[in-house]
Parts: sequence; structure tokens; C-alpha cells
Amino acid sequence: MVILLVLAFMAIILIEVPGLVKKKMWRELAAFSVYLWIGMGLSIPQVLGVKLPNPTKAIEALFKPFSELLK
Amino acid sequence: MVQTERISPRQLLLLIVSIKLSALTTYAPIITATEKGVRDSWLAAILAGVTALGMTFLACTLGAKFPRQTIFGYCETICGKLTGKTIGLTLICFFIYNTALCLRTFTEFILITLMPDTPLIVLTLAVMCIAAYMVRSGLEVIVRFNEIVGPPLLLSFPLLMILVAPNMDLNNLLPVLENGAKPMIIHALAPIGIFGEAVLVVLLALPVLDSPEKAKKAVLYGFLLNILLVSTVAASIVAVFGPSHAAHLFFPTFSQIRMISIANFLERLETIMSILFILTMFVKTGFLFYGSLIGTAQLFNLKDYKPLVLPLAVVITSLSMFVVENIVEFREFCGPEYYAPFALTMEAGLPLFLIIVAAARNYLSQTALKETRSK
Repeated sequence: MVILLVLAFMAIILIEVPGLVKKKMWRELAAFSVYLWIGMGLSIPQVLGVKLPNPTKAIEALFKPFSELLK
Repeated sequence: MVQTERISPRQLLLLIVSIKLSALTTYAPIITATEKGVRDSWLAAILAGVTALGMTFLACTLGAKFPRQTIFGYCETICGKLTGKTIGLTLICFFIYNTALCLRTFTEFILITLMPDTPLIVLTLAVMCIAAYMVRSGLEVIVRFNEIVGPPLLLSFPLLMILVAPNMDLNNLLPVLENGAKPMIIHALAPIGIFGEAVLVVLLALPVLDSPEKAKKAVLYGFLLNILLVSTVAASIVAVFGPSHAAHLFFPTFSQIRMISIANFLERLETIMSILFILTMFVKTGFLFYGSLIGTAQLFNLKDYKPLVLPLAVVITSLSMFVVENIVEFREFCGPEYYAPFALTMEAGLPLFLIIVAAARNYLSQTALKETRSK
């Protein structure tokens, strides 16, 4: 699974990066790498079976005072 | 980045209708929001729709002040560089999170109703590939796709109402407002958040509209259609199942269509409806995805968003795998306690905040101008 995932990431890099470098679009390249890093950070732990913090739980905790109000 | 694409007011109308209709009818939060207000959910639909219409007009007013700019462009003009960038980033996160949530609900729907044995990741990847392809082709492709799939969905609802009529018992809708208005208002809160997705549509689509002066009319007609349909569907679901049963259904509209059986011949219509739902859900996923991309491109002055499609697709796919554990958790989140304040902060709070700041700045700069003149 991990190998498949890494292959997928390499495919994405091979598809996008040469064109960006050729056209000298450095800002786009930076944004591309940031998103790719986030993507790796989210997907690889899941494949390895690590539980990630759930954003929905964070939102629920954030709006707890309001939900208490409705009861 | 400069947007060269243009969409017409009719396309905006259809976009507003189908983006909300898919979520409001498949999961029908209008029915399942709370247990107390189920009987009056058709009233709640009207209330939620009208409130969201007000919010959307607010966003229209804001957008009209800055022609040919999306919210990511003018929140920096209004609030200054640092605050503007922070708001823009929060909005991008909101879009990404919403895309992941939408994708997950979408795949859960297919998984539970049509393909119970398929692994979740296979469905998610398949859906995401199509959505990514759509987004890479641009906004015009999304709205034109919607022009094909939207009208059949709209037309299928009157037909459905006629076919399901023999199963209805209108006494289930009585008494109206049994416990006063308060349960109904709380019941309406969560659907406001979903109706309010029109705000996001307007904020992104207004700058690319070919005739911006017709925007309010398109929004108004879109909302009227939506309110009418959602309210009738809500009433019919309660009439068919009764309030206590309806509140515990996972896919009320789907179950309702499954019950249609006319002369042992006209049966299993739910497949046709599911296809239409799935097609409009593609539009919604694609549009929210487009929102997060165009936001990133405009906030960081990129020339093009197309190189970002694939890495962001990876982010959204992996986020959607754990954004909610299962459909029960999603329903809990979609109730008035959590989803309503979360969505309303971004959909109503943000435009209101920007309008107030813009007005205050305008006022301050004008008084400063007067003072310098009088000196």
C-alpha cells in the first residue's frame, strides 16, 4: 500500500513539475509542494494505521458553548 | 490570477438550485435535524430558506461593491494585508474541509444504498478523479455539466410527488406548531447552514457573471424554487412516514421513492433518482473544490490554479477518509448544535463583518478627506 502511494505521489510530481520548471512558475511550484506535503502528511499515516486527529471533533469542541445554549 | 471565464445568470440559478437540492434531499437534514420539530419541518424549510436568502443578498451587496473580484481579492482590500490573508486562509480551509465532508457524505450515500460491499477508498478515488478532471477543465465546464443534469432533477420532483401521493396521510402533518414556535426555529437552524451554501456560490460566481446586475434576480428565483421543492418534499416525507419514523431515517427521500409501487409495474424508481442525486453531487464537490483552488491562486497571486489540482485532490481524498467515522457521526454533526454555528460563522458572519469594516473605513476616509479640505 505504501509503495503504491509513493508511486502515486511520484506520478503527480512527474506530471506537474517539469511543466512548472520549464515555464519558471516558482510561486505555483511552492504552493504545489505545500499542498503535496500536506497530502503526504495526511495519507501516509492513514495507510500505516496511525489515527489522525479528527477536524470534526475540533469543530465540535470549538462550538460547544453554543450547543449547550440550545439544550 | 485573472479569470477569463464567464457564466450566465441562468447558469447561476441552476447552480444554486442543484448545489443545495442534492444535500437537502438526500440526507434531508430538514427532517432529521431534531426530533421535536419534525412535524413542522416544511415550515422550518421556508424559514431556513428565507433566512438564507437574506444572507445571500448580503453577499450580493458585498460582491457588487467590488466588481470582477472574488472574496479572496477584496478581503485584503478591506481588512489590510495581514488580516485579509488570515481571513482568506481560514476561508480556504473552510472550503477544503467542506469539500472533504461533501465527498464523504456522497460516498457514504453510494456505499449504503447502492454498493454495500465496495471499499470506501475505491469509491472516493473514483469520485475524486472525475471531480478533479472537471475542476481542471474550469468553472464553465462545471456549470455547463450542471445545465444538463439540473433540469432533469428539478422535473423529477413534481413527478415523484404525484407518484408518492397514494402513500400519503396528511393527518400526519397536524397539529401545526404543536409545542409553539421554538422547536421549529431550532429545527430550522441546521438547514440554514446548508441553504447558506448559496452564499459561497455567490461569492465565487458573482465576479465571473456576464451580467452582474441580474445576479439578485437569479438568486431570488433559485431560492424560490428551492424553498418550494424542499418544503414540499419535507411535507411529503412526514406525510408518508409520520413524524416519529421520519426522524430516524438515514435517507428519507430515498426510502420514500423506494415505497413507490404502482400496479406492480412502476417500481424501483430509486435507481433513477440516485443517478440524478449522484450527478448533482458531482457538481457540488467540483464547485467546492474549485473554490479552494481559486482561493489559493488569488490569495498567493498565482498565474494558474491547474497545477494545484492533483496535490489538493490528494489532500481532500485523505481528509475525507477520516473526516467523519460513519454516517451516524455525520448526522450528529449536522444537527443544529454544531453544523449551524460552524457554517453560519463563515456564511453569514464573514460577509457581515466585511461589510461593516468596509463601511467604517469608507466613513473614516471620507471624514478625513473633509477635514483636510476644511483646513
